[in-house]
Parts: sequence; structure tokens; C-alpha cells
Amino acid sequence: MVFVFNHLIKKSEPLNPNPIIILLRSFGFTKAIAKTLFLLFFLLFCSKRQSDIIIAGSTSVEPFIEKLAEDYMAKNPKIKINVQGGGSTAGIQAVFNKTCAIGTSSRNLHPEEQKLFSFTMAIDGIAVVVHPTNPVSNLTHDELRDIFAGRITNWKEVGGLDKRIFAVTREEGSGTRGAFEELIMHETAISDVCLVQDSNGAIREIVANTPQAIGYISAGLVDKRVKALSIDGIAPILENYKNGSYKFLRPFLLLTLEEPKGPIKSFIDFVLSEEAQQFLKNEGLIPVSLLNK
Amino acid sequence: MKEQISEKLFLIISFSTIVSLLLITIFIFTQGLPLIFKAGLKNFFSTNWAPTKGHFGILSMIVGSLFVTLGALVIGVPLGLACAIFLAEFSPTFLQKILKPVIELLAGIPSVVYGFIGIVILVPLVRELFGGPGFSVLTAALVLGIMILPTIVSISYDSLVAVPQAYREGSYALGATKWQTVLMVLFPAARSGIIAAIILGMGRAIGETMAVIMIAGNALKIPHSILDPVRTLTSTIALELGYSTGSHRLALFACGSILFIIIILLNIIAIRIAKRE
Repeated sequence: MVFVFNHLIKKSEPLNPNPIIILLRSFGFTKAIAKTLFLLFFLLFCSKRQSDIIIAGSTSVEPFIEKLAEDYMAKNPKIKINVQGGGSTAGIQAVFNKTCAIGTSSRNLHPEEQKLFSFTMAIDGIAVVVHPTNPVSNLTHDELRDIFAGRITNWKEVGGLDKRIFAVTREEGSGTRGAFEELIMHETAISDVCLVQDSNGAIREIVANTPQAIGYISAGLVDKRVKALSIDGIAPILENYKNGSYKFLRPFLLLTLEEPKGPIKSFIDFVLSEEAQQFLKNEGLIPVSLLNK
Repeated sequence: MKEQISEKLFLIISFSTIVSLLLITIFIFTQGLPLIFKAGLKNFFSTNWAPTKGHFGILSMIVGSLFVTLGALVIGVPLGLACAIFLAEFSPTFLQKILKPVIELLAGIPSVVYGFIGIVILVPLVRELFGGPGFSVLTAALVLGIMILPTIVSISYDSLVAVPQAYREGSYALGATKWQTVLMVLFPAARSGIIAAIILGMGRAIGETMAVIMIAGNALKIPHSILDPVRTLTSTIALELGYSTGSHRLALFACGSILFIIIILLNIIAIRIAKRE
């Protein structure tokens, strides 16, 4: 890696006939200057203003919280909110490290994480998606599990075309993967034949472009480019979440280290407000109020 | 006085690079190595990777990295050498003035752009033409092969140009054709530079992350054909670091240690060969 880096820097210099010189030169000034510049930039970027709220965590929660943060900032121009991804576990870690004010998680907290203050902002379904041209529109729970366990490898075994199945899963440690394992796979391991992608968006992209693919994403992120499957005949739609027939649900949590106050409390209150909850509902999530009833 | 101050200043700056390299090395190894020994070499070099459940086998990723790198070399080396030979020996000066910067410009394209082109154009193409998911060793090798071109072309070009003119003249005087001169005289004379070019290209290919994540499919299974998806060491680190905690995180550092060792070895070999000239 070091060499690659130097080599790139060296590009702007005149040609050098001897590889020894190229190798030796790489320890020289160009590198020192590049490093110093990098450090300077790093310091510049680190000096954030105090009034900023940093929110980090689940990539499933990210798009929703981003939109809510925009709305909130439009109403409260003095407060700047900075939304980052990274994943549920990273978000939880960041709250503990105080590198972000609010962490987001798309899975339930582990026992050692319970001491954080948590606010459920919405409930999300996990939708299993395929390419829109795929004739299959329903799978049983067992079929689904067998597909991801690598036991079913052809679409014709579940009533589709005679084509290989390309299952796409999330990476080890992801909140969505954790929820999928907990809700659908149970004790069975996800097969290592599955393709692996590191975000909901990437999985949706692959499924939208690959006729034989199947993947699972946050139900709120299903759009026209993919088709959400029913599981045991029950479609991932709001009605079925409400009446409790669609079982594959997980919470979206907002987490803070201390009792929230000031702008942080005000933002969390905003997320739990009628208006924001209505927005989340329109986006395909289940508002907290519905859950409590 | 001024002379002395600037001298000291530059000394400190150049030492800072060594210190940072040292710190990175120490950090990676202190984080990574304990886990390798705790988990045991047998666990660590198995193919079972489920770090949240205590299985840290990274063999499939090592094999994946090697496959992808080898593939990149198979595509990149012949292309790169052909390019370098053409530029150094056959091309007219005006063409050389256009081609050389253009090839070097390839190095300036961010790897995510290569990945994007791969995912939009190459992946569907490979899927249509050859079958399989399209996310495959072949796709990754094609893209990496192009990514390592500038490294291979510019270093081997430099070493071909550096061969003394007298060698060429001597060869022509013996009645050799231009091609024979390239093959029998220039190649052996520039051998060390060319090998260094290939090894540096290899280092670039094995370290590449972003483009590979996007197009290699990242499946953990060891690929059986070049149309199967593959996971490399670097993509594992980049994919999972964000979500990892505890020993999962340490396992990723262990991956980093192994990668570090592989790349250091490659570079030592490159320096050795280059020095032998």
C-alpha cells in the first residue's frame, strides 16, 4: 500500500529511468509533504463547531433521519445536524465513545448496551426483494430460509424459472443481517455462497439489476425497481404490520448516553412528533403510536 | 544558521514518516496478532468465517485475494508490457507524447469510479456472456488488470528507455531485427525493472479495496471457477469494520496484519530484484 501511494505521488515528477531510484525516492520529501498536508486537512476537518449534533449509526435508519434532520434544520436554522452511516454497532459504539450525540440502531440492544437511553422512533419490516420480472411472488418461511442456507439453489424449486438463485446478504455484524438471522434463519447459518453487500442500497441495486437475485432490505426502502415478496402469503405492507400478521419486524432506535437535553432533546421530540411520525408512516415505516395501541 | 534550521526541520519531517509507518505497524500487529494466537492458527487459517460466533477462518479471503491478484496480473502484465514496449521502441514521438500521459492518467481515476464502471457495464456483460452472477473473479480481474496498467507501463517503460543506446546499436549491427532486439537484448537488460513493475502492480492489485467490493460479489466461499464471486482480505476489512466490535474487530486487524505481511514481502522482493541490477 505504501508503495502504491508513493507511486501515485511520483506521477507528477519527471521520468526516472532507474527503478532503484524510484524505490529509494519514495522515502523522500514528496511523502513528507503529502503527509503534512494530510495532517493539516485532518485537523481542519476535526475542528467542528460545538452546536453541531452528530448522528451516526444504522444505514437503514440513515435515509429517514437525514430527511427528518433537514426538516428540523429548516425550522431551527441555528442548529446543524450532521448525519452519518456506519452501521448499528458502530453507532452504538460512537455513543459510548461520545463521538456522536445520538446513535441510531436498527436492531435490539445487546444486554451490555442496555444502559443507553433509547427511544423507539419507528418499527421497520424486513422485506425480501427480487427482480420485478421474477414470476415468484410468494415464498414460505422454510423456502426462504433454505434459499439463504444454500439448500435451494434454483428458482424452479420454488415455482419460478429454471435459473440459478443468487442470494445477496449483508455483511457480518450488520443490524439488518442480525435481524434477518434472528427472525428468519433462527439457528441455521447463512450460506457462504451468498453474495455480500454492505448496505441496503447496494443490495437493492444488485437485485434491481440482476433478474435471478434475491435479497433482504429494510421495507421502507422498497421502491419500484424491486419486488417485495410475500412470506407465507403475507405481504410486507402497513396493514399486515398493524394487525401483527407480518412477523419480520425490528425497531429503529435513537440512542443517547445521557438523559437528552437542549437541542438533542428538542430533535428527539421532533422525531417523535405527530408530523415526523406521519412522514415515517408515508415512507413505509410503522409509527410508534400504532405500536402502542 | 538558516541552513541549519531548515536542515533540522527536514530531518524531523522525514523522520515523522518513519515514525508514522512504525506506529501503524505496531498498532496493527498489537491489535491483530493476539487474536491469531488466542484463536489458534488452525482456526485462523480455516475457511469458516463467522467472527461474531468465534470462527475466524480467513483462508478463503487469502485465496480470494491471491486469485483476484493473479487474474489481474494475467490481464494487466501482457497488456502493460506490450504498451511499454510499443511506447519505448516502436511509437513515433508525437504518439508517445499523447499515449504516455493518457496511460498515467488511468492512475488518477478514483477506484470507486472503476468499481462503478465495473458494476454498470462489466458485471451485466459477464453475466450475459458467460453466465454466473456477473460478480466474479473474472470481473474483478478485468477491472484490476486495467487499474494496474499505469504502474506496470510507466516503470517498465522507464527501465526499457534506460537501456543504453549502445546495446540497441550493437544488436542492429549484428543484423537483428527490431523485434529480436526487444526480445533478446532489451528485455534481459531491463529485466529487473520489469519484474519490479510487475511486483508493484501486484501490490496495487492486492491492496485495492473499493472497486473489488463493488464488483467481486464478496461471497465467502472459495471460488471454483472464474465466474464465481470472491471475497478478498481488503474487502472483508472495509465491509465489516463499521459494524464490528470486540473480537470481530480484532479479527479484522488480524486480516490487516496478514495483508501487511504479504505486501511487505512483495515489496522486499521488489527492492531485492531492483537492487540486483
